Amino acid sequence: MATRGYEKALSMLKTLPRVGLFNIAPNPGFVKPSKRGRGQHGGDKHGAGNKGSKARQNYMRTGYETSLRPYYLSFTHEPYYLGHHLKRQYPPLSLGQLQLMIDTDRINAEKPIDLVQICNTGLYKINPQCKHYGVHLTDEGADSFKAKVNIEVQWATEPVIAAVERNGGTITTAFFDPPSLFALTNVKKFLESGEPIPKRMIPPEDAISYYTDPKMRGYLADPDQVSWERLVLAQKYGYSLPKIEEDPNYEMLTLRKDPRQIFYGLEPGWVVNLIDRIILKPTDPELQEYYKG
Amino acid sequence: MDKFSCITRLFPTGTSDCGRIFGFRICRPSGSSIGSCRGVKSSSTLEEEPLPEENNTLEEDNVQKLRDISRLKPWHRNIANRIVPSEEKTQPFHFTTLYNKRLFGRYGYASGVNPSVCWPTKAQLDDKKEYERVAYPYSILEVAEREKLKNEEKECELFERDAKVAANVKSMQKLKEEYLKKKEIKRQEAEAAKAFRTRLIEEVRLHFNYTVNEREEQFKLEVKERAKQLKEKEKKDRKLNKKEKQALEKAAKFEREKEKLREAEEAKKLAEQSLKDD
Repeated sequence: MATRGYEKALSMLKTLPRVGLFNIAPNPGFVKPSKRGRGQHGGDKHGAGNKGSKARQNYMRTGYETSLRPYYLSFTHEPYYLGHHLKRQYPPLSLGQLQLMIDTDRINAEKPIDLVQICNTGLYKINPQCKHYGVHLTDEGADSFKAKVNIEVQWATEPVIAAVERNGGTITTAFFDPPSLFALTNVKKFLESGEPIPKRMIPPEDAISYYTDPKMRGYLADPDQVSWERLVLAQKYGYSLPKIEEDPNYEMLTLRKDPRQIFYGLEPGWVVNLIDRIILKPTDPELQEYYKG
Repeated sequence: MDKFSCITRLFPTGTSDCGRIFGFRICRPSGSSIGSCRGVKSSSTLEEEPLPEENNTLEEDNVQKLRDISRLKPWHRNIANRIVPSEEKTQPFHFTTLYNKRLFGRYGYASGVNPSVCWPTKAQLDDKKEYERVAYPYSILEVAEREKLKNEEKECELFERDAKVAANVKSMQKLKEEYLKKKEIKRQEAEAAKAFRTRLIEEVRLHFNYTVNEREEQFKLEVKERAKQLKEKEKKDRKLNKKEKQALEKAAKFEREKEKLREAEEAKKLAEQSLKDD
């Protein structure tokens, strides 16, 4: 005979303990209200630890150094450093070093030399993030400089120009804006980023007089004036100017970049892929126009 | 992977007993074997029934797997070996332009990326153009012209200043003398004032007839009074002087008139005499 449900329940109840406050569960949905804490985070220490100057957060006012003379006041005002952090820097490379690079086959003098070649030697480093704007070719070792080169630097002085041109070489001073410098200083990294080659922007106002000066062989100077100045400099320094028109390497020596161009043989807007060994050129007329102008 | 066939035979193929196997540098596989190469996320290919030709390569793959003790994730190992990192794009960054550009730059067409992502979109191009318009508002010629003008202005300013200095140098001697004279007069005045004061103090001291502290109230008062007296005296003297002067002037005037009258009389006499003579 099957026992009924309530009978079973009653028999169970007989053995179960009595219902009391100590064993009943709260009503469904009941949430015990938390006690109200004192302060913003319930009276805790706000992450400042226990006692002491740190807990009280008694920070000194900025610049105060517990009765010492504050560091920022311990030196007098030095206005000659005004704008120092914004000045363009050209890390130096001497003609002697350049000659050594050529002699040790770090640089091929049979091809035009620019920042790419110099950086690829691994002996010269520039960092565009530190306001480095390229090579300053210095005249150290100018007397023993014998190479005939077509070199493009970012800063050069008169004796350096004379030393290069005396050997039948040519020199140009060219400005590159920081984005182009990033591409020039680490070409592999730049090409692997898949970015199209940027166009070179114009130099800032305080540099334009240098880069348009035919005496400094600026890349924006009139070529006729430059050839005239070559002659003038030869007379000033007392050497006979070798005729580069009759040179077998005439084309190499007179190869120049367009003011918008940053790599020899590559135009702005092109994408170069090293793996597939291909060059991709933009076909959109708007893009073409942008990269041209 | 054929390169490694000779190397793999040197090692026992049993997996459990061989223990540690030193890893070899893995060459980049040719394009066709990318999918089946180890490291790529494709475990399903291993489970498939291998063809007899592929049997050898599968074995090699297993060996390579054992050799690799780098504990790199497959996608990281791929990056290190310059293989396209993963087949399926799941993460949000997989769909960014920057990532896809880099994929194409690093792996070429094997990455499966359309190279058109490399160039800026229409909106990006407009943005670039606007940036250039703001950052480089002038052309090279215009910038050169502006710089030239600026330099000229600076030179002009210098020239003007030089001219001004040259003009000032001419009158410098005169101005210098004037200044020195003024200075001398000032010095003399100061000296006189000092002398007056010392005299005053001395007089007062005589008046008291004994050495008195200069800071004493009585002494100070006396000095003040004395100064007042002296000033009054001076004033009086000046007045007297003025009066004397005026008197003298008056006398001189009187004298002059007298002289005139006398001259007139003499002239009259002379005239009368000449008439008589005629």
